[in-house]
Amino acid sequence: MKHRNDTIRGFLFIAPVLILLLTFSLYPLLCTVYYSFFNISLASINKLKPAGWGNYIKLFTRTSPEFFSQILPATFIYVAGSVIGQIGFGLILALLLNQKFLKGREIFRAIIILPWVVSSIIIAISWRFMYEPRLGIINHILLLLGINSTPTWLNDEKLVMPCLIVANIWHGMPFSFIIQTSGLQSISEDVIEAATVDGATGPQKLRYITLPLIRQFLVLNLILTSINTINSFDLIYAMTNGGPLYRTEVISVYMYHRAFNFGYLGEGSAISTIIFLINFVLTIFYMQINRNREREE
Amino acid sequence: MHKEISIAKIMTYLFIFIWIIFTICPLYWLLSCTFKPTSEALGYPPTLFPKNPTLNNFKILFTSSRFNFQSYGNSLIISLGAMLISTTSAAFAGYGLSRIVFKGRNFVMTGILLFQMIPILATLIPLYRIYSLYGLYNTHLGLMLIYATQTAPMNTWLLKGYFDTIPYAIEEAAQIDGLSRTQSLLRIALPIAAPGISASAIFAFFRAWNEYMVAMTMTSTVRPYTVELYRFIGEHGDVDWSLLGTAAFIAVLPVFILFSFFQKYFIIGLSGGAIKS
Repeated sequence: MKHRNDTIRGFLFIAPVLILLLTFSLYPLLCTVYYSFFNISLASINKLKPAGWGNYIKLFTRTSPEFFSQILPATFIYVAGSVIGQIGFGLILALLLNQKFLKGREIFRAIIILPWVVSSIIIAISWRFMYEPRLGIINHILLLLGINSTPTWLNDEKLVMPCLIVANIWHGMPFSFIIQTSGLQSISEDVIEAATVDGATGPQKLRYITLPLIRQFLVLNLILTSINTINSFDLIYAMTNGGPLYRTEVISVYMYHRAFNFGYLGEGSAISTIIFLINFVLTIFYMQINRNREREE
Repeated sequence: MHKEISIAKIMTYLFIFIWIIFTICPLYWLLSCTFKPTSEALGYPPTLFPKNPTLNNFKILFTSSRFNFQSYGNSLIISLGAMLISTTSAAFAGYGLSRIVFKGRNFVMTGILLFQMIPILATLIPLYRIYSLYGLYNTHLGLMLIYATQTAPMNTWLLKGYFDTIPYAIEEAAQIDGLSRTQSLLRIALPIAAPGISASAIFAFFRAWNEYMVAMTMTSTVRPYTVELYRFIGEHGDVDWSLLGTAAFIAVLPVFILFSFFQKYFIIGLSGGAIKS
């Protein structure tokens, strides 16, 4: 009897969270998959017209923009560039700031983390202002240096993606920095000291001790940052809105455009479903790693 | 040997110094416009510090009809609401999961972790449809509920972790003295878990305060400041960067102040539960 009471009581305690999650997360997720097989127009949102696989076929056969040669490569380049940059710089800065001789480490850390607490919309505005061809600081500095043929940055087909990646590295790096810092702090000082006594040089210690010991943190970082970047929307939407010429039309922005700018909610749902599947695969990896980590602990 | 070390030290300081300039530059460049007259903010050559510091931009922004100041109020209401819903529900759930052994507990805990991984991009369209049909579109409550849902799973895990560290013996004694479980949560466990509660509240607040995409989709007039800021660039062909900088400054200032006081809690929350504290 007591046992059953505990089950009821347990579920009463978690009920508010469960209700929130079921109503505002799981139910809409199932709807997304369901809607992807219907034509729904933003103008008459009540009507669901069966479409079979029509939305997916339309999505894969559209030529402007082309899904496989434009949307996916743009997404991949954006994610790969951001992830490599964020983890690379995050790790370097975590290593540097982990050194004892540094003075003012706390203040440095606080400043480095700062971009992470600012709204991505304000970050988008800041970087748009930086890149602004006539008024931006970057071109002003180039002019001061005597370079007169200044690039147009975000309006330049070739430069726009690197520009976005730089802004996103700037914004997202603190997350990697925090993870890598906690990874480094988990290494016991004895191990490093023992290696020093044995005569290991700095690079050797890094290569053979530090990096293997924080491998788990790097993998975790890789997966979480990939997920975050695939799902990121605000920065690109507010900086380039997918342009010029679909160069920065990543899958999240594309979904938004099809659904809310063109009003094809069914097709938008099809793209959402694909985004969800990508997330699902990455989440399985994430869970697997979490389980390994708990086992090791 | 000694010389080598000092070169390494100098390189370390140099790299950190360059990165710090890189970090500060974009925000400083935009936010410093707040105190410059438009002609100076956009003029060539650029000025590092305002030559004639002025508060005029605040006045222009406040009196012009182009920027809706109410949007800061909307953001505040929505973020506080989301914070309250998320933290309260997560405190109950975290406590239940930590203290009560019941059938299906592990299943629920894994489930909650999985829910956290459902991206808002995969639920936005149905949410929009549901909100339009049932009157939650363009309301404070509507945004509060979505934002609270986004942070509740992670807060549940965070607070469960905190309650796990509090010895149960204290509460058992109190329960023998006749306190119910809810009372024991409110009177004993919550005060001890105050740091965890603060971290989860800050996390929930700032996720809501900074959010843009959902807010843009779900509102027409009850706009948070993020949407208002974007509208400010979008509607006018020529962007008034100094006024935009001023509007951004107002939104960012409270964040910076809170961040400087509660840095530790920010880090726990913003790392998204990837790190167990």
